[in-house]
Amino acid sequence: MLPVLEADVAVVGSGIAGALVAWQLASTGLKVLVLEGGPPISRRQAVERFRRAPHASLDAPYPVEPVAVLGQFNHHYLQAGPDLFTGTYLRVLGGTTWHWLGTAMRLLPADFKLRSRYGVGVDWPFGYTELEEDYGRAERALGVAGQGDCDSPRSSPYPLPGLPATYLDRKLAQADSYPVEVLPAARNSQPYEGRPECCASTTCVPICPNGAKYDATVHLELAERAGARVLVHHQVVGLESDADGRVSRARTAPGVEVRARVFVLAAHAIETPRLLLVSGLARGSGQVGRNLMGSLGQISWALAPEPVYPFRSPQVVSGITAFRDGPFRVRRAGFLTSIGNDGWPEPPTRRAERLLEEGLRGKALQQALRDHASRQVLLVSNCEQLPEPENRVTLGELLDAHGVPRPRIHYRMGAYTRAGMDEAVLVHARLLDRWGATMIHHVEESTDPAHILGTCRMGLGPGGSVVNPQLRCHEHSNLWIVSTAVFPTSGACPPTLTLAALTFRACRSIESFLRQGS
Amino acid sequence: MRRRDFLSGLLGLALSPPLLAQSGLAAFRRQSARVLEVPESWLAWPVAESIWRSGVNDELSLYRAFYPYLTWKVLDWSVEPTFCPPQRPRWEDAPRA
Repeated sequence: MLPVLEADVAVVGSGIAGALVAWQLASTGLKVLVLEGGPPISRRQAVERFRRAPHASLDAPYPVEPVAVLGQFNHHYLQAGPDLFTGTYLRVLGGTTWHWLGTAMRLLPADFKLRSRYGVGVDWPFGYTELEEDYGRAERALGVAGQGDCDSPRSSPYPLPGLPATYLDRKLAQADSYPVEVLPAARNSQPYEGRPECCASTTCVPICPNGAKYDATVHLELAERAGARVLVHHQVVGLESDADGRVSRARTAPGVEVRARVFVLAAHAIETPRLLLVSGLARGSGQVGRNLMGSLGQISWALAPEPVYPFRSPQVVSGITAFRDGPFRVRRAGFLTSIGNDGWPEPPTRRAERLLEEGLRGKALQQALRDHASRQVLLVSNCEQLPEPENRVTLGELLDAHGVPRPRIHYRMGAYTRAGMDEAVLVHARLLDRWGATMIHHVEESTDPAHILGTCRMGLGPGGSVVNPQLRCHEHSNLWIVSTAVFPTSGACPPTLTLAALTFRACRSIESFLRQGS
Repeated sequence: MRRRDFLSGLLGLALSPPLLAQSGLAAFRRQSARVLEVPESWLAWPVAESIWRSGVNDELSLYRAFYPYLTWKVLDWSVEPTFCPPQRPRWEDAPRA
């Protein structure tokens, strides 16, 4: 007999979606229980771990967990090809917001109507205007600093003034006619809601040292103050439904039974479908696990013709948004180009190795290192990806530490995205060339998705989707999926703000359901 | 000349009796700083000790052993803004070398 916990709402996952849901619903007086499979993170210890790591890799601040970790893409995933899927997430309290970049952009109105406008992908079941007010709520909750509207019309101002463009950003902007603009970011340009302003550590990914960048612990704390209970080290390993199709209980490892009136799955776009598949839920749609998408990054780097002094700001402040939409989307992906202020994606120690091989020693070596590092420029263009049913998560034959089948991932980039990446190379080349940059390098065959989306698509009916426009599961009346898993298409900008906006939409629906008692 | 001094220093250390280990480490650290042309304070004691015990025996190996730690020191303008010194420059302003 397992110990039993009861709640009005059980939330599986404590990333941004789980935290915002817990905060909103606990604030209305509902009894909320958050179940997180990973450990809590101490920012101080994580920063120390990162500082002391001989190789300051992206996963250096975090404890090793039995899930996908950066650089070990077979650690948790079972790769079924043809392309390697390298999207990652953190299983810790606060989820992947610990190592997100912080760029908090709205989708474009056209992103909701991809099929209608360009004949590819699918349309969302509602348009931009229906989400606009929730975007404003999300920006105020996260503390988004911004200035322009980036072609997404707005009815409310940003809660914080935009961050200043960096020296490097402004130098690059002078090189060509491409419009460079400051991107909205959930990173404080001035103190906000008890958090300090950005300290320019250039380590947003993998960790913000002072909490100026929003992460989900902000709303987990608020949720707890409002009465929510948060359990860490409790991985949900199965859900059960009753004869009416309602989800009745969840089981966790190490062994607690959770009963609730409503269950919310907020466990990212890999773990959410895995849990549904393991539990045999939402089978009727045939869509669980399908349409896995990423936003793949075309990366280029070069040496600027003069010192531009990266490493003194957030990793990204500015970018070029003009390539996200246009008639070209009939045939190729749109993309968002970000200007990296964090240098080349290689440790500076490797540069030292190369300079040593060239025979440099002593002061000459130090001067060469300084000169090189002061001129490093990075461009990253994140391309949208179309939903393809064959790109999917299924259950693998091997089990994880709790005896649950590991996610088996079948993934292919696709010609549409490939064409977008090719165009991004041309844009990068033109920009860097006109600037007079040298040592220009374009990464070939990049399949690195910065974000993970799809796998439990939102739609109007149960035939082609898993959840309805309120994110409620078609087949299980008391189950909501609040995750990037519900995105019908990816758009060409980071998904986090849109996910945050969707949580407000879902919470209204959950509240209404519980109030009506049906 | 510098190289010969360094190698003879290492040889001397290798022959030092255990009771002289502490002073041997200090000498190694001092000589390493001279060879690398960096302030001795940049060579943290635990790092220096670890490299000393690894038995490096030539100049290139010494560089290779120390530079994973030293690179960040050398790029002091990148280390400084990291982890928030109060005097950090505004990133949009003119550069500080």
